[in-house]
Amino acid sequence: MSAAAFPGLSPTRAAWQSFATRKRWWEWALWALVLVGVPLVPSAIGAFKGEFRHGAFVSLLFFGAFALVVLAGLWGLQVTTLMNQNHPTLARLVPGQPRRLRINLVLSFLVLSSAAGLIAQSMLQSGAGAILIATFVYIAISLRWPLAWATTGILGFGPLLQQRLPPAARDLLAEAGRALATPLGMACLLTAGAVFLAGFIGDGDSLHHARYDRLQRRRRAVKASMAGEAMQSGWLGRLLSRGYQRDFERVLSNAQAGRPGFKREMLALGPQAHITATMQGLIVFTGILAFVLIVFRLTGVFDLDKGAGQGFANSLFGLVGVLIGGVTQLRACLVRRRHEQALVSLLPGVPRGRAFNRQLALALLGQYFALWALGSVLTSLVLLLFSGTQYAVIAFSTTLLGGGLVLLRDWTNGALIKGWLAFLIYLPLMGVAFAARLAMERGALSVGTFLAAAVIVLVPLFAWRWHAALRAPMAWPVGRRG
Amino acid sequence: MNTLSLPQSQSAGLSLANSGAPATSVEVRGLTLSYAGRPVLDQLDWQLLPGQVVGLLGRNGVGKTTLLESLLGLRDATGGEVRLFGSPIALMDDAMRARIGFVPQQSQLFDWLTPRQLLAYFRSFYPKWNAAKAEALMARWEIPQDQQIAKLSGGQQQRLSIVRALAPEPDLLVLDEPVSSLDPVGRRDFLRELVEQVLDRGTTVVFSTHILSDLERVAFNVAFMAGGRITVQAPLSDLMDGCRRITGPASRVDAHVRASQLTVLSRRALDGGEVAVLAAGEHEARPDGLGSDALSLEDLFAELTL
Repeated sequence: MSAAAFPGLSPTRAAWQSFATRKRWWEWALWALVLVGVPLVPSAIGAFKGEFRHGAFVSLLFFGAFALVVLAGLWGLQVTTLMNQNHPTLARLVPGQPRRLRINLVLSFLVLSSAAGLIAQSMLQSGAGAILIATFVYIAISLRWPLAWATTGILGFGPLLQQRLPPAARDLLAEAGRALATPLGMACLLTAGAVFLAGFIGDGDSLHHARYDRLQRRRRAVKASMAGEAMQSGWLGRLLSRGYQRDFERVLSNAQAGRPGFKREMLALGPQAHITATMQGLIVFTGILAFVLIVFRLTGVFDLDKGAGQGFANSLFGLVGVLIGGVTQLRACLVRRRHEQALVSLLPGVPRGRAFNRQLALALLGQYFALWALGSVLTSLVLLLFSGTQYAVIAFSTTLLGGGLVLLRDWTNGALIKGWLAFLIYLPLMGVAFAARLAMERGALSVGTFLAAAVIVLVPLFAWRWHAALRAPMAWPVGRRG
Repeated sequence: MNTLSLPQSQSAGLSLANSGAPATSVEVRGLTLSYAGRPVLDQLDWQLLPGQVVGLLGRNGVGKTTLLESLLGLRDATGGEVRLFGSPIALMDDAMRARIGFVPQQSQLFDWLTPRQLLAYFRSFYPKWNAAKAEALMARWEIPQDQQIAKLSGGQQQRLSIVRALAPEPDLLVLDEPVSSLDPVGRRDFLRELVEQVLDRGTTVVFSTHILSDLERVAFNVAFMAGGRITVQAPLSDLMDGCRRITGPASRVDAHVRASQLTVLSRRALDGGEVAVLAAGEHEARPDGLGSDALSLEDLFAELTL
């Protein structure tokens, strides 16, 4: 190894190095193929049909849209890695580190958001540039404070609330929008964004420590909400764990009489994996949903615009996706609570091998279908009460369909699914949801038919993989592969 | 408990390497810090001289990590003052930062990078960077250069943390349980490196550990922490030679301590009106009718951190 083995690595390059470390060459090739190949399809079709000019125009639009997405992605990556580098201890002790991170954050914002703004301004209407710059600031905020609720709320409810503003306020907003669309307005927006973002980087003081700890907790909470461990704390956690506590005390009081060993194994998974927690969680979230709908109905928001109700239902798609992750917890707990489970599995009376796997698979299926049935009933009730929200049921069913496929995959492999594979499963499902919505709008598909179709797809798949669940390593996932 | 002031003979010799440096590397006066109303540091006074190697000992939860972090300004104390190299910690500038190396208890490495990239990253911040030493340590400690840090073992990550802290050639090295994840060979190698660092450069080193055998191998000074304060700090050899546990009836032990002008470091009651006193000073070989035991470092730890 030469003395030049450690040349300087700037904070910006660190972002790219991290990306390069994690990505394989074929992933880069796939992205390049998608980014270049897809936009060229309209041109190719246009050339084939003799309408190349139209095809080229559509290709250009595709390229523009992709460029915006890539720039936003780069910006998201840049913010994430810079914030990850801004550890309070390092900020305090490594000479000049926060200053360089701050310069990097501001410069990358100015470059990337200006480029995105110019592309949007040239392709779309005059105010699009300002919107893009503001979007870049919003991306940074949502990465620093990753609140899925706030994101969904702002994107879903924002347009609805705007319509409730008095005319004078709406005019003022429109005027402000026009002012921001001018070059001077965009320069002001860039300056304000840069000043705001510079404050993101902490200097390692106690406030920075507190913020960093809070951010880490929230990141863990967001990850846990996807894996199903978000609801174990606070008033909701206490509420949801009541059924588990009752069961736990019952098992303890009858310990000498020899309760079924499998029950102990399930209790070792913690309160959030308990069936009552799942059911109560779903009821609580549906209650929140109904409350919001009632408020919107009473304030007449849905009457203002036909599209408002649909927009609201669309925003539910993302929300339901997050919530379902929070309530289907048993699967995640099976892997995350392996140590507790392993201890209990050594107790006498705990079933072994296929006998254990059979009960485990039944428990997983039971929780999954109970959730589906209760969720379908509750969302059906909501959409019976409120017209214009029937698409919420598509969101619910589709995310559950995805959940079922993920469960199948986990059965087969005896481990939690990788994020990218889950994404690949959910991506076509979003296409299915979109097609289902179009079909519903044209009256070609009813809610009942959609639910029935989802069941018809899943049940044979579960039956097909049942033997895989039984053949899993002893006491899955304690002795799981991988 | 009393604070024992013994001549710091070992560190005096080593401090010659830094003859141009200020009188103290670290000076702490009246440091006070509480967590939710529970005092962790209580009017703590402490001094580390240039070139001194100090092992910080104390029971779990006594506040060792809090003290080490407070030394570096990572925690805001509610009272007192910390000065590094003669300047208040609140006025820490880049020049002072460049003179400090810190290995925290929990790894703060960027686990998405490789070790090579991580060292390159930190190199870009420091005015001094001993690349040859970093390379030698990476090779000697067999840390894979191009594997993602997240995939390294706990011991390898800890070694990488140590390399990162040593490479800028700091004047003050603060290590919070630096060897807890290392195997015995790794620990010995690390301690050897630490001693070389001190002998070559006169670096001031303070490290906390629970592995007393390591301390005996390397620490020239030991500081015991209890009740939010440094209760005893002295060269290890002086402590081992000069401290004895004297047991017997309370009145006779007290009389012996007074007559021999010993310093009482700890005292606890035994059954039957007897006491056990840990005392430092010039001991008689066999005090008449009393028990007098030489102590191992483990015994000293147990007596002084009660």
